[in-house]
Amino acid sequence: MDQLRISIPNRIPELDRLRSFTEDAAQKWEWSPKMAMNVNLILEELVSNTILYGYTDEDEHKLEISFVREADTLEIRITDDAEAFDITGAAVFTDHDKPAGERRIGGLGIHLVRSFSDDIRYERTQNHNVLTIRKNLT
Amino acid sequence: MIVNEEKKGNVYVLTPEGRLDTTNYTILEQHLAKITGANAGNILIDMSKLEYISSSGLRVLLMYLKKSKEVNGRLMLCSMIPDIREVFEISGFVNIFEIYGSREDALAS
Repeated sequence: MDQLRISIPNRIPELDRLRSFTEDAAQKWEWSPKMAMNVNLILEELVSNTILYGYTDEDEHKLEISFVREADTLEIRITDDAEAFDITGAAVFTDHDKPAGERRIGGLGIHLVRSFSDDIRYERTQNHNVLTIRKNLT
Repeated sequence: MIVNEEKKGNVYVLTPEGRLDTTNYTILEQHLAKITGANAGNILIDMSKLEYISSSGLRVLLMYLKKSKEVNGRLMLCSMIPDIREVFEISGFVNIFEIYGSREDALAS
């Protein structure tokens, strides 16, 4: 088992640091470009969602992101103290195939995360959201 | 992200380079706003140099597809790399955008 971890404040420009962190992991663990892009997308969608909509105050909060590499899988874990939000139960718009004028703008990020993840688990423990995503390496 | 802007006939060709994400989508948005705001003609986004797109980027494209239609203009896309094409397919966006294999095909359409 191999593990990498980063902690970032709840500010949108920090997404750049998160991207570098993911690129370093991709290089270290020799991910395919597609794997790297998918992990990057999953993290950007989830973390930006939390930063933009998860807090009711203006204070600085920390988000912890970790990668655990097993033989055939990558486990991505995001821990934050934002408002409780269970992505596994969240409503996702299903009108992707409607004409542009009739589509709603929103829920798209969650749909992408679900599509690119092999398993998603959510827990609320000690006032923290803990989201664990499994991505198969094969 | 850098966005190159050129004019081919009555089509504005925008070529964003690098990543289109939550941190920088407003750069592309400014170009699109300027062109649609002036009711200036059709738009082609050449995606050959785009390496990554997230929902923030998709939302900007969708928003300006709607705005273009409101002023009877076209917003076309071309030359997507396969990984970005997959994001478009999963999103259902392949069904609502005019997507061409090459810049030449788009401009000839």
